Amino acid sequence: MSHRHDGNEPHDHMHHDPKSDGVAERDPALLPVEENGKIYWRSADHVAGTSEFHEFVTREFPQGADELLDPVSRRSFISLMGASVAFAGLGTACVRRPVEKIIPYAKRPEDLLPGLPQYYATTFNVSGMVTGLVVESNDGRPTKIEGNKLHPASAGATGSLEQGAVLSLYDPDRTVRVLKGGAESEWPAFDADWNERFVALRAKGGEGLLVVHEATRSPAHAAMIAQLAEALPKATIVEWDPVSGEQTLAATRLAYGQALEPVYRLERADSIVAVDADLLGSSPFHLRYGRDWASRRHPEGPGGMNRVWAVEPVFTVTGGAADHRLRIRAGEAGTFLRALAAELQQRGVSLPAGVAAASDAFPAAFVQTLAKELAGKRGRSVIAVGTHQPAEVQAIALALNEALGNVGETVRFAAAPHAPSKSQVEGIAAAAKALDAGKVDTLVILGGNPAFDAPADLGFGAAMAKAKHRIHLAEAPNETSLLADWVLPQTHFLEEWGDATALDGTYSVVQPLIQPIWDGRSKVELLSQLAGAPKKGYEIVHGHFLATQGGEAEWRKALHDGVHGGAQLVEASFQAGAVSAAAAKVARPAAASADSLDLVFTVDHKVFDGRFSNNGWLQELPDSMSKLTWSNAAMLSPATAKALGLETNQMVRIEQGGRSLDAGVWVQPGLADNTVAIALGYGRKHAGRVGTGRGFDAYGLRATDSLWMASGAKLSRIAGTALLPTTQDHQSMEGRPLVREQTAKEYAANPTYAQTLVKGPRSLALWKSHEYVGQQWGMSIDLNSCIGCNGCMIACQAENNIPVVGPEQVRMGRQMHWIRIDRYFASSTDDPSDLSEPEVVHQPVSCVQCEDAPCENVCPVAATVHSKDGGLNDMIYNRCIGTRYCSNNCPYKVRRFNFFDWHQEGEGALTDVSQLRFNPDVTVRTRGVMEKCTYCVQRINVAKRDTKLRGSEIVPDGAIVPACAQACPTEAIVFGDINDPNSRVSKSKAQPRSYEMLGELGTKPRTSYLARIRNPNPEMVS
Amino acid sequence: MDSSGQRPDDRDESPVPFVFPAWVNQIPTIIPVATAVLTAVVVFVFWFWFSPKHTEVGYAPVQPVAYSHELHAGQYGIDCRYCHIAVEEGPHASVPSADICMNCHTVVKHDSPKLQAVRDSFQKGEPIEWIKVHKVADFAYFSHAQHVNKGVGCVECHGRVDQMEVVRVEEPLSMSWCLDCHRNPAPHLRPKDQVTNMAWEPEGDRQELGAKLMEEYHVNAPTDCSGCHR
Amino acid sequence: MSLPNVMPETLVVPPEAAHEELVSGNRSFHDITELVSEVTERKSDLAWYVSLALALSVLGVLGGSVLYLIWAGIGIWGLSQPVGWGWDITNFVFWVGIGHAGTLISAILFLFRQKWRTSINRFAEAMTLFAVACALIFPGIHVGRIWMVYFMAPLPNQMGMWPNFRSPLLWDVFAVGTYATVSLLFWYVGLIPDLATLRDRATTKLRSFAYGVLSLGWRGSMRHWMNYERAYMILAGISTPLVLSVHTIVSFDFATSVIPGWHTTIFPPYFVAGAIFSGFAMVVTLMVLARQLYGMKDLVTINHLEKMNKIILLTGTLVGYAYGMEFFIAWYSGSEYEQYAFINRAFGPYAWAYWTMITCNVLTPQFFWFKRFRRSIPVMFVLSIVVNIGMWFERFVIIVTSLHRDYLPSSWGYFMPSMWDILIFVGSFGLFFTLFLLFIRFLPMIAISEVKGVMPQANPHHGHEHDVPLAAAEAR
Repeated sequence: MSHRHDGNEPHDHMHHDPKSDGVAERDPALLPVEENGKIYWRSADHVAGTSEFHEFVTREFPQGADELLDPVSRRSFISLMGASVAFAGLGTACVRRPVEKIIPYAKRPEDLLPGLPQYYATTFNVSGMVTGLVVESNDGRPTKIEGNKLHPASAGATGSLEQGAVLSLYDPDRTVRVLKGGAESEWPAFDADWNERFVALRAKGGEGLLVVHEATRSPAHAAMIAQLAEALPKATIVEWDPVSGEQTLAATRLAYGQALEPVYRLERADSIVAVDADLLGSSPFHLRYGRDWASRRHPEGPGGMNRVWAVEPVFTVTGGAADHRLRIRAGEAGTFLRALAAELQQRGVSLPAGVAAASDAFPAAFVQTLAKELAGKRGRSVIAVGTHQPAEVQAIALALNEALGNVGETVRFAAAPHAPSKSQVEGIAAAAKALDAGKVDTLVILGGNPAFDAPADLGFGAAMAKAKHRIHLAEAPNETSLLADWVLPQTHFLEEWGDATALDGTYSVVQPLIQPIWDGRSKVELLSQLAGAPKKGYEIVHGHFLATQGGEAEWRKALHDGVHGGAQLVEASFQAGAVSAAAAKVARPAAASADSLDLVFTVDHKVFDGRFSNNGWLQELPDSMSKLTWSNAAMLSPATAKALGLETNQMVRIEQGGRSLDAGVWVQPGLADNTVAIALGYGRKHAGRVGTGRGFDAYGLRATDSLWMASGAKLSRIAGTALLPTTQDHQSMEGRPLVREQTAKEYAANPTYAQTLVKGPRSLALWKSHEYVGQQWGMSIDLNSCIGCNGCMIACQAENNIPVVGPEQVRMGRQMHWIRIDRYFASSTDDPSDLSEPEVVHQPVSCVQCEDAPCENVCPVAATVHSKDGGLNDMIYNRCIGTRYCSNNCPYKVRRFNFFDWHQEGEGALTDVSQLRFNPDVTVRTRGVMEKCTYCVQRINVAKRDTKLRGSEIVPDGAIVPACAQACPTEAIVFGDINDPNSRVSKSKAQPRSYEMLGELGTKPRTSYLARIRNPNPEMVS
Repeated sequence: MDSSGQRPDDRDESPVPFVFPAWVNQIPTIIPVATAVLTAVVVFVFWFWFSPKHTEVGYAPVQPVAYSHELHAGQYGIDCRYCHIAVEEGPHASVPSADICMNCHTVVKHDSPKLQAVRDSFQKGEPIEWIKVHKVADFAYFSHAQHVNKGVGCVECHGRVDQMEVVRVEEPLSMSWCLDCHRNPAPHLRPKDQVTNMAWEPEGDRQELGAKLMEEYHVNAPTDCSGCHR
Repeated sequence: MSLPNVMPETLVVPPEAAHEELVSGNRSFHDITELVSEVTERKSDLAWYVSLALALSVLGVLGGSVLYLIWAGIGIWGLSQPVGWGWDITNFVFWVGIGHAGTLISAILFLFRQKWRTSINRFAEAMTLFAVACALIFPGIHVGRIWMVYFMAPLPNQMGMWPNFRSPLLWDVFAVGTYATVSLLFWYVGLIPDLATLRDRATTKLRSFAYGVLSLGWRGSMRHWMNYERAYMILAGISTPLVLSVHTIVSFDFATSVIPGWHTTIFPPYFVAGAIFSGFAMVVTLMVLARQLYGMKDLVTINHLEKMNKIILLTGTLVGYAYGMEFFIAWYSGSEYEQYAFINRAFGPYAWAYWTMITCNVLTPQFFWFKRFRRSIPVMFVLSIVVNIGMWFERFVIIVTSLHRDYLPSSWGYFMPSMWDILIFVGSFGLFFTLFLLFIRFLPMIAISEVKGVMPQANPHHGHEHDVPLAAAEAR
């Protein structure tokens, strides 16, 4: 049932061969295991002496007794009978099958004790997203990823992509060896081949060489690119990433004459305006922004609560957390900002000429109140625009921030040394043209998947085939690899040396947790090879550090801390003129209608641009807003769906700019009307056993002139249904007091409102309550700071060896997540069924560890019982027989049942390599067993062990952090000892807005919630 | 004729044709006796024969290297911790790696044929595959450190290893066996400095001493399921 | 038969008893013996073989499905979160319910001296046993790890663990187990004299041996009859509370939970009534067939069937009352969850199941208010089947509609049976009918001796002017 890897291997030869007896006499150590019968003969001999043996034999085998009592023939007799068990049983020995082995080190590495984990700092670096990590390694296997408190982008938190990385590392579908034309090959073969080609290329100065690489924030990588450009000056080097922030860089170039990264200081902002900007959900700094935003969401907190105004076409995480939300068309962001500017101007805010332009496209009340508020909060607000919005639009926002005096206060700028000199899109377009014209002799693609995700109008895949030599360095073979003649295994970031600079310029190191499992090479290593000077990753990164960052001492420290130096913030001078000119170009797009829709591409929080498609954890993670798993969909607002006569799960054909895509419809409240939104990264054709063929390939619609939005899209119903798997069928709270909320004003007037919602007495317990000793664990979840980002869900999945079940099973409601995030829509109008302007609430629910738990009474075998010490609702997997009675009787429905052996069959099926990911401290559950959240009891036990070994009794507050709480960017989950009045959890539970969900049932849940407090502008509340 | 209902009076008693011989009448008495005996046997078989007391205790496989604890720990009195290095910090006591053996055996018996396997392992870097003797179920999480640091002697679970030519299992290592001690640890405790002393005998009442040590070492052995199962 | 040794006051049988038409066609004792025994002795007709073959093949379906279930895991059923119990427990309760009529008829009607029971009790008891056998399959196979079910047994083990005696599921196992055992004994004791009859009539070695063993050397002596009567009396006493306890405890599986729709105190009486309801319906169904096929019309008269139908009408109405009461209590409780649960039952996604149940269980029995229908074979045949369909749906409605929407709307779901749910349910009928066909073929389907006891000839005054107690006594 449990996978603890102490090198056991089955070995079932225990039969006894009398002939081996003499041999054994000589030297047992030289004997192979199967002849270790000797011990039994000895025991049988020894037994033979005893009277009971005589008696036994004469009684049992009267006729053969003499023969039996003669040693030699007895042995033959026994060996014939194979009865050693019975005989040994009489005396001393017994058998065990299978024989288990203990395999120690031959030479033990220092500071490594079996069974004790080690932690190393490294960095997650995926297309502009840089997060500092601390990774847990068990006996050399990286098993769990946590955030690095010292890293600005993480502040100790992690998102789902970071958490999922472990699974990708052990993905059985990775590039496991060098492939030449699809056939197995070896590195030396490639090296020889390349050396040859390099000589030829160098003769022509690199002409005919095209290198395509992904966007990255790695200084070492940039240096190696430079080195390559130097070695082969005529080579073309192109950066391509389907999801990039280059519009922001363009905007800053426009407004400040240099490429800069805006960094927001949300903890200082009273008002946050997010215009199509998912600050808390998907910006490169979203974890940090979440932390900072949450620091201002406590009604009692210093500086009071902040207020978020979201203005967006699709329902983002930020929009869900907003106090005011306005649905606009994707193309109207600029128009909105100019309208806002106009209102601000009227309120005495001085703006560059031509920025302001009044518009009637938006509710006057909204724009005016917002303008009034901003004008009153100079230097204490942030106006952010999505990085995918056109540069001009983002420039307007910069102008507004300048005008409101936010720059330098709540808006800072970091240098962007990694910024490519020329636009990605132009670059890839040119590359495609060159390929198509047959000008490219050798094409090298470092990671990425351009054949799949390059703009559809370029036909990159087709053009690619025209290059004579096609080399692809790939973590896993993908659509592009299929077209390459050399496919080279690329290292996962947990296997390689590297470095990265965070959004704010902080330097951090990428150090390997494990030797490359598949003998891969990192991008920098291959780059050095391309440049004709092959180096090891360590040399490159270490060397570059010494050259640019500091000495050996700093290096050691950087390895330990994971970070080096601080934020690299710069001052820049605003160029009003340029902005005025650009802003003037921003016009309101032509009206959209049901038969000429806006098409909006969104970045998926799970598979991202498609690179994580083969990651089961991420695929099965429900989307924050739609709760969709394993697929994307053509999202429509209820009104638009009605106008088009479409319903969820119906198949439609989306047609735009001569391209078309068939996709399933999902009716999503909160979407802008006359808009169809679809997430990128799905519909992979060659992603591996998990990712292939999930969802619909939106890249098929995406062209160079419509990277993020397009107009004039048509939708037509086609035959078939999509059966989109979702984890939540019911969207309404049915007026039940589950999530309880108030406005800040109401809260001030009646703080205990949340506790007064349930009338009538509590039900009494059926049995007498338990007695408790020692520290008692409890949890408090602040619904006011939970943004529904899913970080906790996948962190829990990684920590607790939770299996993946696959889309069909999700459709049956058999997903296994121990913690889920319930998402309810509520109408902002008086009519509860009207979801045109929905409000959304998120509620993380895992086992609440009832003190009088309904599940415990009903289990016939006492497989779930209460612990005296700690007061947890224990679940003992190896005792469970699977009646499912506990789950039926659980009011919170947080128990999960293993209907099949998810580790053996379906999307979650294990392979030799993928089982390396398991956390050795948690039992891996088998088929037919119930499982559930235990507050990470393995972490509790380890903390208790360490405390006791230190000779102390009381585990200090904060020493135990459950996986969910540890990952949470907004610190919404607090865990600790509820007997200690000074613990964070006790303080949290003491707040007036703390309440117990379904407490009226008398379950006495240990997990309680803090009511959500919205902070609308009083003038907006009619 | 018909024996079930009433017989009309005018018919007189006629003998019932007996289907079975007379001895069959014994059966009603034999059956209960037989059942009793059978039950007794079955209970014994399961209770004793299939219990860890029987299936675990006495397991003494021959190891790839004929290492004698009797010699090393017994006669030479080498402390357990010299080889089982992790026992005080980690969950596993850890089986010594070849280099630990070689600390001595580069000098002592450096050419003994019995040590060939060790030397090979040390030179080739290939581990010796020892056979696991003491096995606790994988779903029971046990930490050596937790026990030895609370004054539970090695001998409590492993027996007089220092007298074993070949290591054998002395205790059933079953759940109820664990619980016996966890419910009443006192009589199984000893001063920390005596933990590895196999021959240690308490002076005075052990229960008393144990009670004192429980205070001193903050011993509270968990009896909750989650103490061992996660 | 009357019970001189136990109940002296019944020595004098009231004359009207003689006229009560319990056995029609003016049969003699010997006729009865012939009539009943003959069925087990004559070469059975093609129809029987055909039906047995059919039953066996359906039984094969059960076996196959169960094996596959154990091999592949209960994921092959339609179960999910939140619906952890579906057809498995529905079928269990359904069969246990059917298993109620037997003991009721044998024990309670016996204690109440309902003589009309004699011609149907053997039949009903057999049906009880077979139904319980079917029922017992499901608690066994519904668990996730069937190879671990012995954890439920209070046996000594190396873990030092007991099962959890607080769990209704455990009570359930014991309750049904006891019921099965006692019913079996009761049935068997009743069979002994008749088995002896068959033994004595045996023409082949095999038959005389088999029935010889089974009849435990019964010779019909006075002493035998005395012990027999006493044993029968005692067993009847033991079984009587069981009739009520079994389904009461089965209902605790639900009543003790916190799930709206389950958490209610009305369940015990409601379940018992429902059980008798379905049990009697099943007896009628089978009785009608058997008496038709095996010409028992004189023993199982239309009067018997009418009495049965009256009980069906009564219990059906009780059940109907319970349905209504549930709604009232839900409203009266003031708990929004309770209220929603019942509104959801009647108008939610499973409304179709709910209204099927109401139609079958509450409306159809009302026909039995009319004597015409009570005494019409076709009508009662159809209605009894409808009632059992309804009772299956009752269990389905209670279990599934309560589970699929409980407290948190986020975890609401919808249950759909898989192919395997259906096959296993159908298969259980295979087991039932196989056992039944074997029963009517090899055992006396009517209690010969008891029927004789209620015949006019059994009355000591029969054919005598003056009372001869001694003779009468000796006669027995």
